[in-house]
Amino acid sequence: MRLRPLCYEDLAAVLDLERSLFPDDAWSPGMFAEELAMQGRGRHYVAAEEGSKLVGYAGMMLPGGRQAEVLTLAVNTAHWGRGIGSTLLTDLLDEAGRHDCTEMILEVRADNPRAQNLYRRFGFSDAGIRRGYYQPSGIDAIVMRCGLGEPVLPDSAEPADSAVPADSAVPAGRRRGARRGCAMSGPLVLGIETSCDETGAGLVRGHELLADAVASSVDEHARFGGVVPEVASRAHLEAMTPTVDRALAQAGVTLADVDAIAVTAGPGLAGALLVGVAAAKAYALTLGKPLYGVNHLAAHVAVDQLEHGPLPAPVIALLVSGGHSSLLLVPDVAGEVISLGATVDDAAGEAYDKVARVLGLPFPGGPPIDKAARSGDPGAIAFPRGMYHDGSLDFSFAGLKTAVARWVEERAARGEPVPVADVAASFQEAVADVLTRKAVAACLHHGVDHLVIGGGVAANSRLRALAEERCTAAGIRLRIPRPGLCTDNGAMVAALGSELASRGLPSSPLDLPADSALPITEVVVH
Amino acid sequence: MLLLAFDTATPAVTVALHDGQRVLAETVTVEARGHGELLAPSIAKVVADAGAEPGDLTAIVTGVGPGPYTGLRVGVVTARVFGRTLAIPVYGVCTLDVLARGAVRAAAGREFLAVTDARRKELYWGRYDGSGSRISGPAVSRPAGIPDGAGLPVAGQAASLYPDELGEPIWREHPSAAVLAELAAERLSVAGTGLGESGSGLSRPETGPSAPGTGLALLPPEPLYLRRPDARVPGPPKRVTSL
Repeated sequence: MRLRPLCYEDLAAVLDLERSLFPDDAWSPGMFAEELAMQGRGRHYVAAEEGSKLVGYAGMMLPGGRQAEVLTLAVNTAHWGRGIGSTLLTDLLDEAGRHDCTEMILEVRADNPRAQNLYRRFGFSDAGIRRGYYQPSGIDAIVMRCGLGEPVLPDSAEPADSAVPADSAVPAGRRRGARRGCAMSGPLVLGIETSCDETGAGLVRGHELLADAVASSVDEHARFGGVVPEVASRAHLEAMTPTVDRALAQAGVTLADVDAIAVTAGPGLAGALLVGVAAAKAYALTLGKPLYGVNHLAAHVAVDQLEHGPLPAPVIALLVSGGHSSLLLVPDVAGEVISLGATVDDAAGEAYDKVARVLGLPFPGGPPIDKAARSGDPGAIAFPRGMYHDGSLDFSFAGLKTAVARWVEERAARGEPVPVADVAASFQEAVADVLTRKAVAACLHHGVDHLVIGGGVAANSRLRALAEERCTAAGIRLRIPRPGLCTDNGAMVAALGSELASRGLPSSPLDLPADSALPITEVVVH
Repeated sequence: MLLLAFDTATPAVTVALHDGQRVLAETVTVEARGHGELLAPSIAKVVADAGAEPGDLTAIVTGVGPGPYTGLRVGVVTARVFGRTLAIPVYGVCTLDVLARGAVRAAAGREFLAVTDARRKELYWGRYDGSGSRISGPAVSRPAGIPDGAGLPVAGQAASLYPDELGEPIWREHPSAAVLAELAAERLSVAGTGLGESGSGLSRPETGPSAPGTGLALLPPEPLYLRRPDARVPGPPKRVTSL
C-alpha cells in the first residue's frame, strides 16, 4: 500500500467508496471537487492505493497554523484490519505537524466505536458532543481532540461542554460538516492600505468581508490635478486609527478579536506606505499577533475572492489604476504571481487624468470621462492604440494621451468647438480596446480560462462591457469585483492576508520595510 | 508607571522605557532612512530588555518634531496606535526640547539654540535659556533668519552645519529617548493626575500645566510640520502642438 495526494482523477473511485461507506450522507461530487480545488491551500487530501486501486482516503483542513480538523477518513471495508486507517491518520498528523498545528480535532459518529478506538489509540480524547448532528438518522457526533506536541493550547483544559457546544449553527445533514463552516471560522484579519490617497481598513474572515472602511484624501488633491504625496501622507496619519476603528465598529468586533494584521508593503508612494506599515507593526506588536506585509497588486487580485469565491488556479489578472497597468499570470495569489506585461510609460488611469485636464474635466478623470463618453460616438475619432500589434503584453498610453491633446488643440486652433463627448468616447474606446485585447491574448496564450480585472479603472463602464463581450466570445470567464472593491481599500489587503494566515504561511518580520517598487514576485515580504 | 518614549524626528531612532524613577532600557540607532524598519523592533527590544510586555505600559510619549516628515510620522502613528490598542494616554514633546535638555550642562547657564537639519539650507530651531526652557520657537528658517541667533551657542547634531552664521557648537548629539522619557516623567509628575482631559490622555498645549525648568506642557501627538506640503496648483495643460 502506498500514499499519494488525492486528485481529480480519483473522483469516480472516491464517490463509489463514499456511497458504500456513508450511504446516509455521502458527499456530492461537487463537494469533493470544491475540496480538491483547495488541495495544498488549507486542505490536505491523501489517497491510499493498493496497486492502482484506491482503497482509502482522508482529508483535513489546515487553517491558520493552529487547529487542524479531520474532515473525512474512509477505508474500503474489504481492506479493514490492515492498518490503512492508521497509516492515513499518521499522514494527517505528520502534515499537521509540518504546518505547526497545535491540535487536531474531528467529529465521529457516536455509533462507530471502531473509528473512535482508532482515534483513541492515537491520543485523541473526547472533547464534546454535538447532539443529533448526523442527519437524517439523528445520531450524535462525538468531538475528539488531540494535542500535537508543544505548545498545547491553553484552552485545551476547558470543560468539554463549554469548548465545543452543541452548535445549532452547524448545517444539519452534513457529515463532518465543519468543512462548510470554513467561512465562519478561520483567522480574523485586519487589512491596512495606504499606498496612494485612500486610507483603508478592512476586516475579513475566510472569504467573508466583515468591514471595509475607507477615508480618501482625493478632494485635497483635486486642485493640484494629481495626488500630492505629502498631502496624502499627512491625511493617512490623521485617518489611520479612526479608519481602523470604523472598520471594527462595522464588523462588530474589537481589536482583541483580530488574529492577524496585513498591510500593503508596496508598491506605492513611499511616504504614504510607511504610515500604514508603521501603524500595522504597532497593531501587531501591541496585540501580539502576526504581521503580513503584502503586495498591493496581489491584493487587488485576492479581493475578488470576497465576491466570487476561491480563485481557480491559474487566473490571468488585469490590474488597471492611476498607478498601475499590469497583466499577471496568477497560479496562486498567496504564493506565485508572474508579471506578463505592464505599461512602459503612463498607467491607464494616469492617461484618463491627463485627458480629463485637456478636456477641462475634473480630477480624477475616470468618472467624468466615462460619463461624458456615454453621449459620445466611440468611433468618431481614430485615436492610436499603443503597442497594439507588437505581440507583447505590455501597454503604452503616453502616445494616446498626446494624440488626444493634439487633436483637441488643432480643433481649438481652427476655432471649432471641441466635441467633448466624442473625444471622451473615442479615447475610452482606445484604452478599453488595448486593455481587453491584451488581456484576452494573455488568457489564450497561457491556456487560462478565467480573467480577473481589478484596480480603479475596472470601474469603467466601457472596459467592463468590452471585456465581457470579448471574454464571452473567447470562452473566458470574467470576474470583476464591484467598483468599491476595485479601487484601493483595506478589504483587499485583508483578503490576501486571510489567504496567507488561513494557510499558516510565515508572517513578515517587525523590521518589514515599505518598498515603493515592490516587485510582484514578492506577494508577501519576508 | 511604565512610560515608553521614542523619537523619530531626526536621523536617530531612539527608544527608552522609564518607570517613573529611572530609565530601565534604551536603544539608539542612527540610520536616516530606516525609521520605518527600526522603530518597531527597537520598541520590542527595549520592552523585552526590561522584562516587560506591551500590555504593561501605562503611557506613551513621542517626539513630535519638528523634523523630516516621513520619519516623524513613523513615531507619531506608532504612538497613536499604541495608545489606541493599549488604552493608555499618548503625549508629545517637541524634539528640540529633548535636545535642549541634553545640552543644558554644556550651555553652562548661557542662552543657546537647539537645532536640527531641515534641509534646503534651513534649520529647525528653538531658543532656550540656561535652564533648558524654551524662549522662542520651534520654527524653521535659514540660519541667518534666526532672530538674534548669531553668536549664540548651538546644540544638536546639526550644530556645526552653518559655522559662519551661527555660534559655537556646544553639544553635537541626536536627541535621546532616555532624556525624552525623563522630561515626560517630570512633566507628568508635576502635572499629577490633573494633566490632560479624562479619557483622551491629551493635554491642551495652550493650557496644560508647566513644570519648572521645562517651561512647557506635554503636547498632543501631532507632528510639528512647520511647513506646508510642497504642491503647486498647475497652470493650463502644456501644449503638445506648436502655435
